[in-house]
Amino acid sequence: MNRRRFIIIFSCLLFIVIVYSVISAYLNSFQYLVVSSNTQFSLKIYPAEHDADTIKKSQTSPVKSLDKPGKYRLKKGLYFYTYKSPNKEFKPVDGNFDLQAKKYFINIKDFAYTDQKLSDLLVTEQSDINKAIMNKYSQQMNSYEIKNSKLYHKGDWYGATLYSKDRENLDDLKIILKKENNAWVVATNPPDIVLSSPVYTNIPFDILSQVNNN
Amino acid sequence: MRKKIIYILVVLVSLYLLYLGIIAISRHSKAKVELFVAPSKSTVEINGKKITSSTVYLKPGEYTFKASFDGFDDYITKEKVSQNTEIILTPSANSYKATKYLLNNPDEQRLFNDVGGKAVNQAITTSEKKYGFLSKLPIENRYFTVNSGAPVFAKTKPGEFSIALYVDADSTGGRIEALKSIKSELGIDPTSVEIYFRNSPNSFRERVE
Repeated sequence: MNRRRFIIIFSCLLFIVIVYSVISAYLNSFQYLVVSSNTQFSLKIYPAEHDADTIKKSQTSPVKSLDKPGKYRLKKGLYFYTYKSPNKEFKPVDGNFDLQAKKYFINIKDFAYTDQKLSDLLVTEQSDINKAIMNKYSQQMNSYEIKNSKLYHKGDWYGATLYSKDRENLDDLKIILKKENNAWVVATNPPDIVLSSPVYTNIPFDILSQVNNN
Repeated sequence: MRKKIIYILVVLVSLYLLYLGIIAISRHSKAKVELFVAPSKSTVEINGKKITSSTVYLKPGEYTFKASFDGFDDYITKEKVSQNTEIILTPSANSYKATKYLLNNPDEQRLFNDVGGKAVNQAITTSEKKYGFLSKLPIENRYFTVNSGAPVFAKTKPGEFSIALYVDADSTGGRIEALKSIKSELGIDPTSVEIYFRNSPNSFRERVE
């Protein structure tokens, strides 16, 4: 083998290695976003940036607009997303994710009602809810009144503060009820100063947190 | 002769590069998972598929790991796998046969201790991450005390390390202040940890105790 031939073969190998490295680096700069859903939706994904303690959109036009579940390839990086239902009674959902080594999953399940819709629903549900609480705690409720009433999600969860009439000796307590088979049932027995997630594993964290901070 | 050697070298280098390429493609977007198993000759299965290597590459997600060895109780665990995950599998020596095996194999006994120690360290690291605020306890003043203790009503999985925060305060105002301190001084959302108010006259509580 002459020197020239050797240089050609060596150059070819070097070329293969360089091409492989470039392709590999390019492929590695992407990651998958997996969107699953059991309902109609429109999802918009924007590039994002850190702004003090929050993460906000870094441009106004989305890099991807989706309305079907599936696996989508995106450049690795920080993203802000918002998805909503075509039904205006449901509240849009915002979030963010940092797409790096792992795929990111967005599971669009049931949308929650807007605050306005939930307030309207509460007007019709409040008396049934009060009855359910009074039936369960008829004696104890002499010392409390129900305040900060609010419905959550699709109006199937309710949270309130049992406001103590004896401020010196009795604490304000939090209570959550769930609507099951068209009837309201106390889900946090006993009502407590703080309703914690490790105790009530069957209640969504966001509901517990909102009721505790209400 | 020289020509032949160069040809062979070129072919070998090409094959090696091809091998590296195939490996890189097969491991693309997969997580490296290291398995620490004692006894060392245990049969290991991931989602029912037998594994012989102590390092595997899996797509990130949840997997069922099982280790079994004659005379030992099967060790089955469901774990979430991400980049550089370490999985510790230690079938228990709960029979005479298993104990005898360990007595006759000091190397295996040593491995058992090493892997067991690794499991303890992993548990400590996990709890430090989850309960990083423990070093800031207790919070004490004239109105209340906040300290840690065993969970009272929290639902924990077997083998899971979990704690509750115990608040001792004699007045309603003290309990409110304790809650504010848990948020500000420990920097945690009170919803995420069980908080047990020991002196709270909660007339509703008798129903569950």
